[in-house]
Amino acid sequence: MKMLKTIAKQFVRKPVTTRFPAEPAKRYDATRGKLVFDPSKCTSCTICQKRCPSQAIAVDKAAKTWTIDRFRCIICGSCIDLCKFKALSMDTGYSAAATPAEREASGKETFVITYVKPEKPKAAAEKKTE
Amino acid sequence: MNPEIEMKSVSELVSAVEGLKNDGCRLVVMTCSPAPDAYDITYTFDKVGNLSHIRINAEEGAEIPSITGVYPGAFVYENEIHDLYGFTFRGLSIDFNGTFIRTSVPYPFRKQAAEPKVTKVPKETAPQAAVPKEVEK
Amino acid sequence: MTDRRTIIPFGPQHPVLPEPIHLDLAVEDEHVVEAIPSIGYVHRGLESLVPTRDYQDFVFIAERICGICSFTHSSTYCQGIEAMMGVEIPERARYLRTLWGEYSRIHSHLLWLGLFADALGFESLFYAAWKLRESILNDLEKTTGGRVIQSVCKVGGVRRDIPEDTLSSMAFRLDALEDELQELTTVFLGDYTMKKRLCGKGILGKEQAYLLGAVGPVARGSGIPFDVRMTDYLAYQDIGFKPVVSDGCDGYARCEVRCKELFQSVELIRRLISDMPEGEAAVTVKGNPDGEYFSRSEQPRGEVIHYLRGNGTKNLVQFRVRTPTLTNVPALVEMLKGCDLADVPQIVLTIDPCIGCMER
Repeated sequence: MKMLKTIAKQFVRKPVTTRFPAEPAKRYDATRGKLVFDPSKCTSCTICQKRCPSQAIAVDKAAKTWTIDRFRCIICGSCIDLCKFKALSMDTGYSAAATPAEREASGKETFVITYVKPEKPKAAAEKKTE
Repeated sequence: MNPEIEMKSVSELVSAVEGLKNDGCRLVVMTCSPAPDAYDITYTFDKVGNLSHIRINAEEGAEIPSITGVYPGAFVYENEIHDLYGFTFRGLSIDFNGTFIRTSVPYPFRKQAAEPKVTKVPKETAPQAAVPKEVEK
Repeated sequence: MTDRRTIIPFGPQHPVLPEPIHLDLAVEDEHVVEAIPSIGYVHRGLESLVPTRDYQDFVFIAERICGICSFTHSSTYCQGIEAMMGVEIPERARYLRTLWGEYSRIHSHLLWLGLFADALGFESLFYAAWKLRESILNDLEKTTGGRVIQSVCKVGGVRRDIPEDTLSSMAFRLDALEDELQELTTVFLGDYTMKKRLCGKGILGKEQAYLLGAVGPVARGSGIPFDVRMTDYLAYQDIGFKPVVSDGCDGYARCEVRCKELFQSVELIRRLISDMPEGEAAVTVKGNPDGEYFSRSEQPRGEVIHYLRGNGTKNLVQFRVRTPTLTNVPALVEMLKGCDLADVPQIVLTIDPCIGCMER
């Protein structure tokens, strides 16, 4: 009897699995998918580089670039908590898998930091007096 | 908050372990850790949820009496310590002769081998060396 | 007699083994007389990374020791650091850690049940178990952001809080899950084929289990009422806990313990949700750890020990993990003595081997 019920259920129920590449994968608001960098907010303080557990982030202060190795990154979100300037955030979409050759070619992403240090009001005041 | 650890000499180790076994303790773990002088090998026992520890101090490469005669299950820890730190255990019941954990470097956790043994990106050189490449593109 | 003895290699690559372990089986006719294990195929040396990372960031590496019991590893590590530094974490954080720990226990046991059914050739049961596991993983992802690597523990508490309405909807889903679990475990524990392949196979006596240091469901399946959750850690003392014990000493008993622990975990989660205290989920931690500590907790597979030693700098000096699988290996060797060659794969699986965890 129980078996009949189970069989009947099989006919009416939708499949449990999703057709992944055709349909997007399910995600939630909390899902950690991919790290997003906002170049206009980064002050090159390098805290993310220093504290990254997998050493995936490299910040070059002189060249004003911020580089992430997408395939070293373990998406723990530690840098997001640490960044005082809110330059980092998390996207829910996953990045696709890649072959070693593709990793070499496109694994590293470099951003040019466009942050301009706002002039301190005090400094501005000093200028005026001059 | 440090645990209470009883220090023992190498010669009284086996009798101390036997005493604990007769007391009804279970061997939980054997831990080897580099100490300021030589190495500490800590034997941890459990009795009804309470941990007790015995510690011996051993020079590098020293020979230590095996406790597998008392606790047969200790062979995994003793072989592991042999393979990672290079201590010899006398009277080991199942001796793998260094093939229990196969490492490319012999005795990788020894003190002097502490530096270049793991495949890691050196903190200073690698990520920064990668940056100019990207910029050149 | 000796010329009848043959050595048959088992593993490191074998259809029932998700991870590599090698066993040399000495067989006489079809009976195994001796088994010699050998590991070391996936030794990564994670423990030696500890002097190169900040102790707060190492949580994420400690979590990656294992892909299944990841949450317990991170919470055990944090617990050890907090004990060394004398940090008292908020009540709510303790409850949340317990909650996620129990969720990962359900997910791990369902994974094991699925793999076990698969190893016995019961494919549809494998699908059924993993289907249920999916709903647990969904709840984990919803609340922590990760399916199996939650990255939600930090020194001083937890990184995310669960809002009240999500908690109640989780409790609601558990009710539905419990009925399905009931159906699933009836098959595992009542089916003729399963009984035929499990009862009386892989015997590990109570005294032997204790002497060889077996932990977790292996020890409890041999009648040893030991579970770290009985000791004072996380919120288990507040909500009340009694270990699941079975006296069978065989593969069936170990399977029974895991099946019953599923329901126990569901019950524990319900109590946690109803008693969840209000307040902060984390405290800020200042300073560096100094001293040493043996931190332990109950993983799905048994008792795990994290040994931590600090010297007052931001990097720890020594980190050592003893995972349940390592201490269950001598017990496994004992179980294999005298069994039939055809039973070896499923006996190996009854200890729930997690080799990646075992070798770090």
